[in-house]
Amino acid sequence: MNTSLRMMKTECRRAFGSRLFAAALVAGLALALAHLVTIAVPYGTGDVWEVWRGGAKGAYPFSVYNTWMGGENSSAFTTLYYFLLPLLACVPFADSGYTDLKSGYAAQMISRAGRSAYCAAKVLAVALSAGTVVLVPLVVNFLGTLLFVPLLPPEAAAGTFFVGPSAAFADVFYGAPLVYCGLFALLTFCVAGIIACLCVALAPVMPNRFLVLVTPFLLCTAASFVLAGSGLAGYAPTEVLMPAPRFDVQPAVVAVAYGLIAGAEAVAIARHARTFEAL
Amino acid sequence: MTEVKATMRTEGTLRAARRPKRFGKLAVFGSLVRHDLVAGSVPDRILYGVALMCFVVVCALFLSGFENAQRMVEAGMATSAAPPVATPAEACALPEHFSLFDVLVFASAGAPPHDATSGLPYSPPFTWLVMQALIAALVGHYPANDLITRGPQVLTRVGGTGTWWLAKCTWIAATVAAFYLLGLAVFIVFAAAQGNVSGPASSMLSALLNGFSLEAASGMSNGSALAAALVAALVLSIALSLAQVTLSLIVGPLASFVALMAFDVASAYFAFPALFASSAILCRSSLATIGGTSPSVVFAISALIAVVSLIAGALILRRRDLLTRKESR
Repeated sequence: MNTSLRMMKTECRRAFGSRLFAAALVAGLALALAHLVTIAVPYGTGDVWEVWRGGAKGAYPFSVYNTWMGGENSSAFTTLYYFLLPLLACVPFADSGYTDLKSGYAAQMISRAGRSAYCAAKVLAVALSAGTVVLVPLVVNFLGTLLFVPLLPPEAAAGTFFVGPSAAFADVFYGAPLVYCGLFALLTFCVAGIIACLCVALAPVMPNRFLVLVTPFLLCTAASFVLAGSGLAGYAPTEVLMPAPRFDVQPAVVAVAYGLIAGAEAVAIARHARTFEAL
Repeated sequence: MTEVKATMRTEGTLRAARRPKRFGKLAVFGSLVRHDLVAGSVPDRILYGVALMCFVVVCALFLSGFENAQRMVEAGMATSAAPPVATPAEACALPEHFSLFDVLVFASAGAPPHDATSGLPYSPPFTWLVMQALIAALVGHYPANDLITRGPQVLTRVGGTGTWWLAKCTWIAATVAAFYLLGLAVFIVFAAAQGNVSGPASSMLSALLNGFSLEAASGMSNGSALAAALVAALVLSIALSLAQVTLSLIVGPLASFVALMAFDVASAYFAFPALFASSAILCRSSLATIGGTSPSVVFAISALIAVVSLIAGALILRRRDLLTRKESR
């Protein structure tokens, strides 16, 4: 138990202390701040939106819930952020499985701590770092938007909120919007971890580091492409994470689908660990 | 076995480099290109497989759209209360069988830039983006990694970086061309099986499927204008790939891949001239929209980017310390 905990601490220290973690976080924060400056600040302080803020237009004013980066789906930075999300999730630590295998570090750690301790620590560190890198910019953007736009509850009759009546958890959005945002934050964290762990599962079979890192991004983009225009378009990874959905999905289907993907990754990682031979 | 073969290929390249001077740099260049075409393509076979599946999906999406378009046209003609006003030519405007050019137009149609005044959500052109992502992944890793692994050995015997860099640029152009040729082969087989290979693209079909009709560019027939636009897309892809690989010599393959993807998404979203990556998207060309980008402009931009990348890459390599070995990301 002590060994497992020490291994987890070591891997987490490697994941969160790396320069790539910082670089990915900075990139995500840059997008979040760019969205803040181009969308939230004009809504909160611009002359063009003064009549909306005062209600003089007779329309429901803008709220944080349809202004922050996850609350709208038409701005360039939102599009860019969710499109690059698989890359941002993988950059910090997802290729460490590959580099550890190639450098012999994995053999050293496995011989000292055992396969299960090493693999569990690796998966945990990769998932935590991926989820953190993806979630922190969203939280910063939400808190930053609060400085400029009021926290008015969503109004279904306003027609300016992107969550339609048939969207998943629409009742939660209009009843308890903070809980809705929290649900999607949790979903984003989990799906980012699943995407990054795909790199760990593929590490033994990929020819180089670059392909290990970009394969999840290519698969996510290909999934969006294949599912686009069909009734399943909303289940693509980048679509399912958007709190302002473009398509309606069934939460149970999302849970089962991504649960199956996570399960397949766990099986693959366990199999690689069982057949790993350092000599 | 793959490593043994790679080593033998490197040895073959080194033997070529030690040939008598009468064979010259041309023989060395040829050996390097042959080596790159094999060694650089082996790690990419999974990506070529993914590309093949994506092209098949494009064909499936096109077929579905074509059948929907036929049903729409038939329903429109059947429910018309007035006597048919269409001339026989207009009544037959939607062809019974689609041609290869119809499929090519659909594959390269893309989407117009985002209209902020519409208030509608933005949906990126995933067909175009996945093609750009696959091309970027195909070319992104090999030159930078080869420089670290076999590069010092080869460069020492070749006697300079210029020939090596030119060979890599040739490999990049060949890889991008192979990607487009793979797509063309899939579309030819599809068109031959379902419709007809020859024949012009249907303007009405394009209007129903892609949201724009094909207008004849001035001085060129519809077919030649379309062919020029499609070749311009290939040339622009080669130029962008050269720029990506040049950037990867400085910041690494992954960072240059991310930068190119961000540039592509921004180009798809906005309509700024500086964001030229989307200038080869067919719905933004002069063929489909008034004031669109003409293929000659795309050729000029591509030539400029390619020349700048070639020169910049050569200069970067001259100053690069190749003895500090670290596998690039």
